[in-house]
Amino acid sequence: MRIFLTLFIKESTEIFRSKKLLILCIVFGFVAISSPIIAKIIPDIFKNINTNGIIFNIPDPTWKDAIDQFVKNTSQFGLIVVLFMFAGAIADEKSKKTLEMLLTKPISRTAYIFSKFFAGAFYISTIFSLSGVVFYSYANSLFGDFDLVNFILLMLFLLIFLLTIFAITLFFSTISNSQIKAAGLAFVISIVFTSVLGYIKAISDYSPSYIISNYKDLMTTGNLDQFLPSLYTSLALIIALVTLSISLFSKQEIER
Amino acid sequence: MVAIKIKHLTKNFAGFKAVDNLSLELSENRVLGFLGPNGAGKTTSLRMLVGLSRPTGGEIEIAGEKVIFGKSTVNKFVGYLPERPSFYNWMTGREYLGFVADIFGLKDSEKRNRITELLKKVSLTAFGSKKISTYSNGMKQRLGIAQAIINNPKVLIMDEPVSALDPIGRREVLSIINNLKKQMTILLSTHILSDVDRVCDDIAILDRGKLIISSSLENLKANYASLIIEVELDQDSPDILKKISKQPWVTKAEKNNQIIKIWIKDREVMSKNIALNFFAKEDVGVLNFGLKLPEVEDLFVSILEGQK
Repeated sequence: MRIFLTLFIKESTEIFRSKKLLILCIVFGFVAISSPIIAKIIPDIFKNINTNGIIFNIPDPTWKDAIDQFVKNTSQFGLIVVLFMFAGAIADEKSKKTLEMLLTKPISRTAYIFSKFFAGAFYISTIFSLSGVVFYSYANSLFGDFDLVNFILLMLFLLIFLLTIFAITLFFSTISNSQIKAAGLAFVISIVFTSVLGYIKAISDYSPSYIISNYKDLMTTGNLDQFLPSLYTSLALIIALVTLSISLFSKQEIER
Repeated sequence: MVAIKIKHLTKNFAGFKAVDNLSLELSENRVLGFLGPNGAGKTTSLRMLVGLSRPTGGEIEIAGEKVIFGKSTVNKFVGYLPERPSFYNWMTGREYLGFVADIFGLKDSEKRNRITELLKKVSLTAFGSKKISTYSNGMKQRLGIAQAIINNPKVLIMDEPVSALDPIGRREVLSIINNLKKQMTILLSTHILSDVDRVCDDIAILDRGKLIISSSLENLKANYASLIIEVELDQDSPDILKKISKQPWVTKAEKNNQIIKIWIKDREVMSKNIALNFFAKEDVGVLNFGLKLPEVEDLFVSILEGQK
């Protein structure tokens, strides 16, 4: 536990000093603030476009439009920022040779992978939750009250989606020797897991991205049942990827 | 007591043996110089010792405990310095040592004292609070030594500790290693042979993955050293090398301006003044004449040539 805490503190300091935390704050802050604004101003933009007599009949925006934007932006910007911020988490340590200094100390490889996962997951969760608070307050002030409990559930599912992307990224960072290779592989596999699987009807209910395409049901009914298969798949995927990362990393020789 | 015991260590890489059945023992508080030409398998062997590389076969014991690839238990007795140590550049030197001290579980006051003492030992006190990204290669190497000995290891393993340094950096690092002698067992790989003379008690020579010889430096010099005469002439004589080489008492000769190195067949050449008589007969002025003490470089070359 002491080793894990030492490595966790080191990871946290690195995330802070390497400005990863700042970038996460900027991206998720942007998503939180821009989503309600975009939802609010899009109808006005269309109204002001000179369309040579064609009239757009756009209804007044509501909180649902803000949520639309928020989910869309989180799934796109969130995926990219998590992927590129953490693709080098382990691969960079190999290529920069800091890992060989570390692994010749009495630390277990399991503690090392755990520290990477839990530190990254902690900061992604914290910043994303804060962005949810900002979004909820701002959307509320612009569009009026909407259900807080359902929104918290939505945030929880979106967070699990982001953590699935993070686990995929960390796995490829474990088996790659360069950040670019890890990011490329993680990007392709994330797209397969989060999008492509969603289009195959037989398994779409189990896709980690199920929440992205069906969030409206959750926001209006608050009924969790239809989301549980995708939740269980995502959690199983996260656990499997972290376990596999530990297992492969334990057998890995550290190249010169 | 034996600090490092290596039995039949082998490492294969796709079709070739980087380390071939290496067996070696190193007693406590000795300094072993691990020598060999480039590609001899020195670094591969050291990386197996510290658990970075998985042996294809054989066994390693450090301080009585078996080294098992993927397990880090033995690392509590070991300090390791790779050829070019890499650090977290966003940390300061003091922070990095603090991080390593935390890994070894040093208590707060002990940690503070140890870091201060080590920074002083490696002459980095004034730079302890500076980011490592601002350090020179020599400073990084010294910080590398500090982090490797923070736990007072029983065994310190260093891979080419001075090869990337300028002469001043080299002198500083060698002086630190000299001060660590007798406090711990040191295994260092190097291809700078003059350094071995300065710090090592024992040497092991590796060539193409195989251990050619392992012995104390003293024994090696006594048993393997050729007798070498070094002669300084008063002026350069172009034909003299050819003439010397043809003498029956000469094994080999080399000339560098006015300095001539002659490998002689036996001590009689000295006791019967055969060499001196030769120079007198040739009417060449001799400024200096004497038996040269064998250096590791001469041993290394003659042992490797003997192998071929």
